[in-house]
Amino acid sequence: MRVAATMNFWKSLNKSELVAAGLLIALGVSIVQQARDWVYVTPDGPGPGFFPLWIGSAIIALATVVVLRHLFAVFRQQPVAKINWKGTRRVLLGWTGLAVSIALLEPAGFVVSFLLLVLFLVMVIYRRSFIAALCVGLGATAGFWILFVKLLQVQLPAGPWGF
Amino acid sequence: MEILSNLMNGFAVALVPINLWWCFVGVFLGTVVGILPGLGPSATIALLLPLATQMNPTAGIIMMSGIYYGAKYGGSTTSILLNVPGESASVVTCLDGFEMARNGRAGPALGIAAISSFIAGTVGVILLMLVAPPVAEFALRFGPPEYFALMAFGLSMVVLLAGKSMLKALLSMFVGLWLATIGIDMFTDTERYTLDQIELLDGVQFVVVAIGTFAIGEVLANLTSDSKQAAFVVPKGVRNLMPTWQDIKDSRFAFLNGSIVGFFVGVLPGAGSTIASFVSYGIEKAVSKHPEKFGTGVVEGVAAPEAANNSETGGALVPLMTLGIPGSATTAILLAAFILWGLRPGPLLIQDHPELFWGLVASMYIGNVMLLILNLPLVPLFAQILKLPGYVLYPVILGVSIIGVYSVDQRLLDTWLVAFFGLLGFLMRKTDYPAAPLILGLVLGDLMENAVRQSLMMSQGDVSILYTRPLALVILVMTSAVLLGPLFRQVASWRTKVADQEA
Amino acid sequence: MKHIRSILAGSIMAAAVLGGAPVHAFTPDRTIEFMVHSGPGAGNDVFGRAVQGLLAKTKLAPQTIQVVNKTGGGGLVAMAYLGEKKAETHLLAVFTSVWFVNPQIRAKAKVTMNDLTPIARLVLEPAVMTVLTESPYKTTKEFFEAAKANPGKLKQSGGSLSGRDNTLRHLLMKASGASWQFISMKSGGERVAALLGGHVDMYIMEPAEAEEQIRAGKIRVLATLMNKRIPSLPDVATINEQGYNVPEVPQARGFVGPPGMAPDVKAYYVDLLTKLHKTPEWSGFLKDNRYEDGFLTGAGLDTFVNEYTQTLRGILKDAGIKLVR
Repeated sequence: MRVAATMNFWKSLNKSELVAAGLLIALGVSIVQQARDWVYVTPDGPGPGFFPLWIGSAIIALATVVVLRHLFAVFRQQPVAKINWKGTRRVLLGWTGLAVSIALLEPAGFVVSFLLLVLFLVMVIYRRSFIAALCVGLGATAGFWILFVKLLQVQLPAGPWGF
Repeated sequence: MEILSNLMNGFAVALVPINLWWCFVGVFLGTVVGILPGLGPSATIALLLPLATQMNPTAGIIMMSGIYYGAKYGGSTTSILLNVPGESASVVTCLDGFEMARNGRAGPALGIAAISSFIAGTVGVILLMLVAPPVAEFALRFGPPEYFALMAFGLSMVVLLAGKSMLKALLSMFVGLWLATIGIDMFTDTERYTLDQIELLDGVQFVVVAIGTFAIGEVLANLTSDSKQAAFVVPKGVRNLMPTWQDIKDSRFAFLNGSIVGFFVGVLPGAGSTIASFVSYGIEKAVSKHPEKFGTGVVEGVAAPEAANNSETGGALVPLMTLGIPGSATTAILLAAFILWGLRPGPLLIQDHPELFWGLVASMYIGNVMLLILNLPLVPLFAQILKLPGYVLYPVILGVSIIGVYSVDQRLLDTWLVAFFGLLGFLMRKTDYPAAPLILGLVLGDLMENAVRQSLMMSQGDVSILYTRPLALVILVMTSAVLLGPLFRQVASWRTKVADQEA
Repeated sequence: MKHIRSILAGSIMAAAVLGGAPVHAFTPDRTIEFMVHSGPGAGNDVFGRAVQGLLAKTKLAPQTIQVVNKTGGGGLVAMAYLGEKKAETHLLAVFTSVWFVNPQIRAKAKVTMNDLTPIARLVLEPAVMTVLTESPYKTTKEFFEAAKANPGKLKQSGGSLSGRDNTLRHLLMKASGASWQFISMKSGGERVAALLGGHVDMYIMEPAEAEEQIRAGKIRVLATLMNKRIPSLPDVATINEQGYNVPEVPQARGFVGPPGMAPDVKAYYVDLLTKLHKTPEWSGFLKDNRYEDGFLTGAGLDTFVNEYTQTLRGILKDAGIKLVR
């Protein structure tokens, strides 16, 4: 009986909510931990450690309230909204593409890294044909390059081939 | 009467064809750089500084200010269409502007932004013309304690920005406040949270966080599904792409509120248009009959911050023109231009060079009209961008974002940070943490910390300095009213409920 | 070696004057970049753009010149970037005092002025000590006496702790035996506004700015913080004349190249700035801004770099700021 109740309780928890609050508590703790190395207060008022210490403490306190409130709500069997994580794998894949493209900015230059990013997004994430991807990629890259680099003289990272 | 004759002389200067031409060049360039995120007016004006110093001062200042206020017009475009805040003040415009676009009302949103900008830009010039000297004297009464009070007022807007959960809004704001502490502490030279990166010594750039959480967060959120249709609905017919008469009527108060808040915040050195836009949005929501609709795409939510952001230009020119004090990076470049022309910016500038000041004022009236004529026809055109299918639109937004953050300082670290904040923005969206309070905290955090520490240095650690000076006290009372407002409303509704039950 | 360089520079200049360009002379063949360490609108950004504008106006610029902002860490990012661009021929940077100060106080700094190739020092910006017209302090002495009577009560507004305002404050406090507060503020606008609004008692200003405020009757200048009186403020006595021994710490601005710049490249830029220095436009620029002509190149500049580093080092040490190298 008790096991079932616990299972039920565990099932109705919104774990993402708790994980998010937990991460915030961890952030708060590390903010406070570092802030303790700095002077808290000087004869002329707050030192460099004053604000971070309070900000960190506030984050810990508020995030703890979020956790407690949630547990309380589940305990009293109030309806708890669940987060729909459907499609998140695609998001993470897309983000990884973005990160790789940023890593390529310096060695390969903006033009190449952005072109690759567009090809990746259009073909892998959106599953369009290579031709479509190439059209979008070349169009967008050329448009950006003409607008920003040629007309507005913005300095974008250039690869070994000069663009 | 004297003002009228001065103004007539000013128009005589501004209407000279060559000045008219430079005014057009300025507002046109301003619109362009305003539309493109990252490229701000200050960088553009700086780029043109060598050219401008070879022109005559009046033509030069007319062109350079044209860029300044023209950029404010353009700033709303990417906020509304792509959720990419082009400059700090446009973050607030994203909140309702992008929602309007999502509801198929991108055209009206862009239109109202242009109209609002025009009205507020004009009000800003009128105020600049009529009350500049006394307002400048008044602004000098703002010392660190008053700035602290103002920042507290700004932060109290979090109450009005909160969506479903006040707790989460507060958490988001505190994380923003923490981000603001990153970098070298000005008072003691201590490095805080810099992770041993030289690039972080100056802190995290606001643009990076804003573009990351708003634009990239939005793109990532849209990657979850692959709908075959266009990402947005764009209604057919030009009429549906323009604001209706009802939209304009709904925004009447917002025009006024934004114009006035923007101007007066603009006068204060170091405060800036971001605070102005947040505060005017907050006021708008506080007095609205349907505050719960804010954030779902209401037209006032676009009109108020856009108005604030545009009349701020008139305000920012006040200390520059009447005292020779630059209040922001952009006005600092204008100041530099004055010096390079051999003019002496200072309290006597208007007296010594009336043709310059009045020519500028007149040109700003003309420039605002030009901007309206330039921007309104662009509205239906820009709204078409949203017809692009997702697989075209979203990569373009990513490209604009990367270029936008990189072009500010040419630092690779910023592109990494924008990707990081993009992921954070996505996760915040999923877990219902609002992003606007994060930006609010980041923008106001160090201003507030500085103001508190400066105040206490002034009083040698006596805290009472923060609330005993009259002006500071008034602002703090307003702050408490904002903070306690929701509480009162709750108590009131609870009491009526109880009364109903008893009856 | 340094002498050989300057002789070489001299002979190239002579050759240029005679009209026959030497065989190996360097001439820029693409856009030249002027790197500045702050965002648009800040002091050294404006200075870089002014030089860029004057080179264009006097038609001395051989190619387009572009000002590039590399902000971060009070010049450290810009210095590190320049340090990586060994022997780059189309890149110069504007140096100011923080280029001397920050490498001494930040362990992260990878590059010091000694690693780079100084080209020319162009201007020295003088400073004056100002109070409001309504202020009870009519003279420097009255200010110091009041500060002594109420230690820590008087206030001065200024920028960062390692900036010039605070350096001068420490020197003034040392010379007078008084002490007062230093309130750091982010932007120049806030600092002046704090004085004009009466929130602080004293502010160290540049003469061009001060003159306008004097003309409007808003402020009073107590002392010139230079060894010589400023021509446009002939009635203001220097701090040394008033009996306080305060060394001169002007803000120096000039150009520096990347490490290992080839002698002919360096000579080219030295020559370019020397030519600029001789134009009437340059004299007008100095006069309008009330700058002191700080033109210095070659061996004199190298000596300056070393001496200035040492002077600032002593001051930082006195001010209790921790040195890391």
